[in-house]
Amino acid sequence: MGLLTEGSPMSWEETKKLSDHVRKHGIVQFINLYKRLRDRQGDVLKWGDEVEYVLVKFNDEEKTAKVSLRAEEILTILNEKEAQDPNNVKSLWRPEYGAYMIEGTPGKPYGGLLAHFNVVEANMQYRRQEASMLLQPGETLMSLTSFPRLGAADFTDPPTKPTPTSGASRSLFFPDEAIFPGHPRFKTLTRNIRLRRGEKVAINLPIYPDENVPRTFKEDFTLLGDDGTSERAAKENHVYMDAMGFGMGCCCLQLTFQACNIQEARTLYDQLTPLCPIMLALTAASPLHKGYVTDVDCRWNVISCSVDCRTEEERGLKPLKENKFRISKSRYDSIDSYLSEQGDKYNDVPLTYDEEIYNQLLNNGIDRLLAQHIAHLFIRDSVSLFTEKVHQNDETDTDHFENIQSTNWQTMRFKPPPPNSPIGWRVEFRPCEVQITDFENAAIVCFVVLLTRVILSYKLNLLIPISKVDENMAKAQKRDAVKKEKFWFRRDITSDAKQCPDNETEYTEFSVNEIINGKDGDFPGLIPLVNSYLSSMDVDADTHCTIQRYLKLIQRRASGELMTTAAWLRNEVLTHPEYKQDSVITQRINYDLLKKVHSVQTGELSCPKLLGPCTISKTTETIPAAVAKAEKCSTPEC
Amino acid sequence: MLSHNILINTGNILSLNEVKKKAGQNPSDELIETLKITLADFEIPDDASTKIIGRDDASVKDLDRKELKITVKVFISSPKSESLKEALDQVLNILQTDSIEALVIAYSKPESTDDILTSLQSLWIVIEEYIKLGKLSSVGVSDVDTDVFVQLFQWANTKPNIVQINLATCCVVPPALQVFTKENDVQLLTHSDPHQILPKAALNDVFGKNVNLHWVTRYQVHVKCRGVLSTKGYLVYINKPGTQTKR
Repeated sequence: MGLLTEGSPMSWEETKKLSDHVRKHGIVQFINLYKRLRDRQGDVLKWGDEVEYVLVKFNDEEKTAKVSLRAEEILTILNEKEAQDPNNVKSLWRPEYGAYMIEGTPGKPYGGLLAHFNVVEANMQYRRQEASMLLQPGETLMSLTSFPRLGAADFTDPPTKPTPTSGASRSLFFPDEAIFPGHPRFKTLTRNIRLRRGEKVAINLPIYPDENVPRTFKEDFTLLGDDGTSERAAKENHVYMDAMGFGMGCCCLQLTFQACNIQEARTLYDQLTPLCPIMLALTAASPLHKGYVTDVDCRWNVISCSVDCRTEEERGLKPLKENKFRISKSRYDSIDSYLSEQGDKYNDVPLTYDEEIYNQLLNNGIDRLLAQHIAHLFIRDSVSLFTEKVHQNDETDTDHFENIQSTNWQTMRFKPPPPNSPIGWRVEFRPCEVQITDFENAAIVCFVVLLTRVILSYKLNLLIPISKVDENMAKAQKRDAVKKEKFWFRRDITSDAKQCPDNETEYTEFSVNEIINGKDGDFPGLIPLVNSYLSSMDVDADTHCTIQRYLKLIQRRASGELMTTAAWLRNEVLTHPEYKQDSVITQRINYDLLKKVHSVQTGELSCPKLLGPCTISKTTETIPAAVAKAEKCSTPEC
Repeated sequence: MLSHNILINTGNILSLNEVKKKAGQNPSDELIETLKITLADFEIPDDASTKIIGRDDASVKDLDRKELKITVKVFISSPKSESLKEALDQVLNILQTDSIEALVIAYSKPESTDDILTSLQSLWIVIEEYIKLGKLSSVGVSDVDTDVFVQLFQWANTKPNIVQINLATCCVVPPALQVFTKENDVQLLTHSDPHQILPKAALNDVFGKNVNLHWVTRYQVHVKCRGVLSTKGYLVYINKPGTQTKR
């Protein structure tokens, strides 16, 4: 989840005192790197996915499933291979927020050939197997967006107890032992976010209003040791959560791709922005939180609230006195501005930033759009600082810049090339929820990367006002958004923006189905565009078959023929024999649900409602030799 | 009655919004649509051999050629070497380049297997000649029976290293072809072109009656290693009977 610098974390008071220091040097570091790298050209397409997993421990006698806090142990072993031979491993493993989470990426990025789409799933399978070999009896690795009983009573293995009056989270529900212990960053962030905010974070998700849920639903926190804070923060008819772990302890599916130069990176950053809510709705996979069925389908707002470090002043609850700005969003949220010239006129949300920093960027030759983006990121304070990293060489280091950049967790991330590396300008796509099977995750990843190629080839324009993207983000998280909601989307994505002077008529409302599959006479649909593109490319037979199966899954999910993961999970709980129409997920329901999830993942249990008739692709570990030879590139990179 | 030959170049159809809006249509419908758009701007001349050029230039001469990969598919129903030469020379000329990275021949004529092999062989002689001249690198054929492909491969001096099959909806590849291509480093690629890219009825619809088709060539320019398609277009070469005019 961002920059992992080793070292000794500083206290919040020390970190706070150095806020301006980090900002000041971070900006200088950005200016220096921009001057060095703005003209970098000719990078090829390289891309990669990141899948996060939860370690689940089943107890078949007691019929329980809990998160297993052994991520550190497992990661230590997984990282040995990389340490010995960093250039030849097939996978890379990184810690994540939860002591029960690990994150896996391919050992090397994929290249720009279509044949690379056929190795994605095989690599995901490899990763799952590699990590699964280190599991103990009863343990399972699951790509699960939210663990259904996270923060409910007795959810960890070994058992742990929350510490409401001490430690990093001070949560009534989420013990500090469930935070990854192997790196100081995670607890430091947790503590600093809470201290900066001035109180615990507060997450309120509407409870699913089933018939036996009390008309006025409110949990009683007194027995958990609440001093009244949680009582005040919890909303009626909502599931209340009070720790960073509820959000950052969720898993997601992200992808990063390299652009050929900074302009293309800006274009892709902008063009993918309107797709963020659409992909969030389509990949929705987290209706279950803290042992309850909620009335939302996605993790997004949970994470957003879980790291909301804004003070009451910044949130507009008190007049500004200590703080500098009113800030409208958490540091984890959707982006606030487009970066390309084409996007300029759709920037209709007022941006908060420090004029001095903005002017400093302008005076150093950075254009207005990029300057306001960077200045906007830099309204945040550092929430994690290490003693060893305070003093840096601004000509060569970028840690202070990365410190702020990597704790702005937004739907999209615009990433400058790292210092002294062959890597170019990159864009990260961050909204998607992770799915149960490798097949689904590979489908989503390939679809998004294909879309970037279609956007560049056909010079599509998907832009709508950024305020409309924000409206879509809210809609995307609603229950059954794919089936029930209409989303703002550009009416004519094949048109050049210049031809439509009137903003009002440029966008209209479409369902996810219409956006993905098309609407007769009105909208071509993203999948038909992908298919047009594919028919103009050289695709080998196996890759073709694999991609078609992936696209079919996306089409069926969008049309409602198949359930989203969220709809399926919710339905599994609601139809469980032990379920009492009270929106409560008992240990037994959780156990049976996760057992089923596991059998669906392994393929033991077919699940046509979720996956459709065809869940097997022709994925292979390497691209065909003849293709590699003809394209004159060594497998599997290009 | 005098007849004459007309060459129609659609130019880069990626810039035609009308075509993008109808995404997902099959290549035949796409071709017909783009021909209609191209011809809307022109009168088909009656008197002499001529060329008609579409809206957007397809030349690659101003681009960095080494970053591009040009793939061409020729749809042809005559085994005459002149016809194929014409098709290749025209596409090289229109793209303003000296070479093509990948060429696929779609030869379609209702013949027996033996005849198809003979026809492909006579076309292959042209291909080998162009490879020698450095004008072609990867070469292959489309929609041939596995046996025909194997015989062509064994007969050829310069071996085909592409074979294209139509896999529009299903994923079934003839097992023998799969094995042969794997063992011989042949790229087994897919396409979605119908058997006749420009059927007689469509030809008449677009150009009027009694028109004969020599060949259709599709060119695609890709940006290497980036998965980006930069140009796509069609060349259509027809023969049109002259109208009888009384003076």
